[in-house]
Amino acid sequence: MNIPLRFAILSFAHFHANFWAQAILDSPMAEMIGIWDDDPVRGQVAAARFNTSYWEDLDALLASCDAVGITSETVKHADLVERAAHAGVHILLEKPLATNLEEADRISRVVQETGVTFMQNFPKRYDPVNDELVQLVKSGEIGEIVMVRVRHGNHHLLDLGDQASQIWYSQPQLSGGGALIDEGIHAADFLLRLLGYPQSVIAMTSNTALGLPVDDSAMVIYKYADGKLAEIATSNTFVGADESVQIFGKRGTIILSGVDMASKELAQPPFLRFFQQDEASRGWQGSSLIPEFQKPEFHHGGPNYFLECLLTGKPPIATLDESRMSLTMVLAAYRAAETGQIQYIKPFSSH
Amino acid sequence: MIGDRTRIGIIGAGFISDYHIQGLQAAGGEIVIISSITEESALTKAKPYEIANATGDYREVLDRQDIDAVLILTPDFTHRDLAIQAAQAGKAIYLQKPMARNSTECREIIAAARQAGVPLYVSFMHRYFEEVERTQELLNENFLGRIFSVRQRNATAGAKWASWFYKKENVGGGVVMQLGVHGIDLLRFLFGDIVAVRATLAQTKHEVVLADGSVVKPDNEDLALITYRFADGMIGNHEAIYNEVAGTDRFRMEIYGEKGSAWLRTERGRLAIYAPQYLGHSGWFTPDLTSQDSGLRQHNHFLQMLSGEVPSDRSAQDGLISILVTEAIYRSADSGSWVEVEQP
Repeated sequence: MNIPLRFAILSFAHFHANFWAQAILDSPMAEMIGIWDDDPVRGQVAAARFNTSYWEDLDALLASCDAVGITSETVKHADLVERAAHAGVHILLEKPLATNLEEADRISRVVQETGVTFMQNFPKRYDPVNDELVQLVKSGEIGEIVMVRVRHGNHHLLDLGDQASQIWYSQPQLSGGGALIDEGIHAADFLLRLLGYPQSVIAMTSNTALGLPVDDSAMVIYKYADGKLAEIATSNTFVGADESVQIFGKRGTIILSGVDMASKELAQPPFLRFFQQDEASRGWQGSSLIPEFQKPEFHHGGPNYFLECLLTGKPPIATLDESRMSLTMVLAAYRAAETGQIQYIKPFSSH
Repeated sequence: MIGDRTRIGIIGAGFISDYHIQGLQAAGGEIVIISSITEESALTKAKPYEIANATGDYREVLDRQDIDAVLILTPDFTHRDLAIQAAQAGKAIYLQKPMARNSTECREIIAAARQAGVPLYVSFMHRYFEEVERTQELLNENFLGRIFSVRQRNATAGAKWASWFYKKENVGGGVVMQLGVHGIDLLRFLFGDIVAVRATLAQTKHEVVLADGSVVKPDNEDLALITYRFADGMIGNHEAIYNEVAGTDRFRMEIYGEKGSAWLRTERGRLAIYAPQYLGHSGWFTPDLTSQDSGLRQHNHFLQMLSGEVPSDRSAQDGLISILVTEAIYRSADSGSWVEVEQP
């Protein structure tokens, strides 16, 4: 593939488009060809902002670039992925993958049929602090895992006040859901990496804090085939927080702080701490690693990783199946909350 | 709701009704009946919009069991009584601005709606202009940094289709109540609460010739110069004027922040942005705003609130607060000093 890669951004519905555009402008690996948006004014404002051109014709833009970042409303992901893949353009996609599994399957199918490189952006996967955490767990330092809790959230919608109902995140037909699918998906993907695929789920969601047609808060409990339990607590109303991840093993505990918006400004180093019963005299021990999330260039990570995949052939940060699994975990939690019934998550069947 | 369309009755078939009928029908609302002062004027309005029923008696609208909501689009002095009767009839209420002639009437309307358990909305159409929606999105992204000041002008040539605008007892004041209230709400919508005001008012014309040739002798102010202090320390300037021949298309607004400026409805176009840090380059940027369908967006929002798809927008409370601001303006004009806005 030629350097610099010709890159375009499709839709500025998701705020992360701003970070991605800046990452492309800052990268020697790529050049920004332009922006397309089904909302022309949004596209024009973005193009003016990043000193690039707004393209009315999506097909013409796709014919002129090697790769795109798709940051549209979630319900439009499948359509745009199909358009880009059929044009032979490689795709970096914002999370969540889709609003339902039918759309997710359309994405899987077209990516397999066309052979384009596809990566869904899961920033926790390329954060070295999580590598260290996973390494601690896998090496048995805290013994067999019994329980994991992940608290992950922000206060974006709370801050918007009355205007929160106007934005697309709050409209379930566009977003597929609220805090759980938008923020909880990060926690689901993290659990997927740490513990694999769960067997069952119970959950409750609530929208009373903000009164929106989507959940502003959710609590979810997964159970795994070997009996482990994992909890997700997520919300768009967390104004302050500290610990994000708590992992309880039979011989120790790991705590990770400062890796969500609610704790970003408040958590203090060491961000990764662990306690080992065998070393009880040493108390809590801290890692010197600073999570990527604490760094200003954090959001450059996804586009940069993706560009490296295209240029070096290294595999994307998450496979399509993994993207589908974390979405399945979230959708099963929604079903559990709606029905009040435990949901058994079907073993993943390949398409 | 009967079927899947919200069914609505309209009270008032004057100048503003075209805007609301067109917006509501485009948004998919079904207008079942319209009333006016006379059956004849109701029929004249109903025909081109294919509204099935027309009447000269608003009680026929309120008595209907097959409607979910009423739009009250009548002169200001009727708002209180009509809204309270609509609440007692169990209808959701959509009330043209200004909410009423004074804060007492506004509170009576809110209490009646609360007692009857019906939704109450006050229409502020300027919120739905595309340039306003875009500005609000950009403000959410903090594109100008901290905002220091805003200038706003509401100016028209004055209504020429009815005499009631020009009598204080009908509108509870003058240009401040009828036209200025648009700007008061828009400033609050974009920049938050107004805590204090200082105002100078004047009556510059003592005779107005209406479209039908009749002459009315106004007894209320037609020019207002107002300064606002906002809760976050920002200062705003607002002119409301009835005697402008040309120069302002309903409103113009200039926003000045630490990182740039934004102008709405000026000679630079519907929206012009100068924000070098946000845009990454200097020079004015003017996105191609094309949407003219603010009525459609406003009534989409109304129907979605009625069906519970989006939460209520608190416009009834905002309607009351905008009137509390006007009352502070009149008190300031009398005293010549800063006046705090009363709490709702």
